[in-house]
Amino acid sequence: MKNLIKYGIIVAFAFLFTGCMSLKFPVNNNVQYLKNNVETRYSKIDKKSIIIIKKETGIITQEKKLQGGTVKQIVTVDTKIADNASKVFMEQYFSNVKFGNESEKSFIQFSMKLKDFNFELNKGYTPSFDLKLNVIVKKEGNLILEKMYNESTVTPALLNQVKLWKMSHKASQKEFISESLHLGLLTILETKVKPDLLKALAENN
Amino acid sequence: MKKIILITLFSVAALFAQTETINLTGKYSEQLGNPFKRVLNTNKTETKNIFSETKDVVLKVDSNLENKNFTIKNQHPNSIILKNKSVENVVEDFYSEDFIVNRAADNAVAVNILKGSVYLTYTNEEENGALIGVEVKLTVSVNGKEKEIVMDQNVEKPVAYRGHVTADDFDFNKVSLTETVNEIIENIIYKGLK
Repeated sequence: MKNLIKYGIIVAFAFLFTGCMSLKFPVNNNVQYLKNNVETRYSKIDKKSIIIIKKETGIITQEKKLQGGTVKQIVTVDTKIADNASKVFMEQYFSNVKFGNESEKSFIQFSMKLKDFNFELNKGYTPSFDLKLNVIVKKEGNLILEKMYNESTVTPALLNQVKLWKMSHKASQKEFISESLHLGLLTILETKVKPDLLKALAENN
Repeated sequence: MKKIILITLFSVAALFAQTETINLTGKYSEQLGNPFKRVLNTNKTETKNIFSETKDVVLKVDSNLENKNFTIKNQHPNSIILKNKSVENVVEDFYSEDFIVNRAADNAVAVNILKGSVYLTYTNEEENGALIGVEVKLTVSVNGKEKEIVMDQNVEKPVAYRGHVTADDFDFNKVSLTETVNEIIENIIYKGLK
């Protein structure tokens, strides 16, 4: 009888530790991640006004079961990050950039909305995000660009030894994932959206 | 006997040695600096003349594979010819941010490539000899002032995405070697002008 109780407790403990494990990665808005990582040396255009249309803010959640269902991974992303990334990106090239709404007069109205995402922490701890972004640009009131971007971005840990070192400290893992999304958005803006935007502006000049 | 066969094979391979030609279009350099200035035509009143000589610059292609791995070595060209006149397309992108650019020789900013080379890095044979690095070294002359610049496939991306990549960057097969070399050369010339 005594043994039975002992085994019972052991089994109960086993369930306790394996059954309800969850990993939470909240990706919070942090403008500093963006500001620290943009180019500041370009000579800017000061006479054209740029308005970044703020989208209704919210949180997008992704839940996933890992390791055969024993671990639950919950990632939440603040959609405000996309607005801030757009603003910081534009501020590299224009000095007159502010948040506003569609009724305000401006040279360019730019909006980028994060529709959906998928997060994976790959082998070697390289965080990767698949992002679905909707970009709408108006020039002097006329629509010149509307496009859905489905892009994935990766922060390769191998290329980033210092960050890999940081990853070994659990506390900064969340920060690293958060920063990774901020940088990912900037990367997409620079490498995918910028060429399309330049083309659209040249065609509608 | 074996040696003779090998020597014959190598001389046949030498006969097939390819050369490729690069004509710079400014496709990559037009994304550098503040390209919005160029597109939006702001405050441009001054003009600037630019000029590059019409000549071919031969860039020798070397790799970390010594002749032993001849099948892979043969996949890449032995040399790449750069059309020096096309350098003007990159120079135009650089100056059209602030100037109205003319292509004329008198009183011009003369930009020429004097010499250069390409170095390729492959993984070893066990890892299928995959191409993992492309490095270009060029000597750029701007108004007679020479600068030697070395750059690899990562070019000098703005800090925002240094070390950060999209899925495209992982796929070396997506872009050809000459395309990669083209991108690096445009970045080197742009840097040389700064």
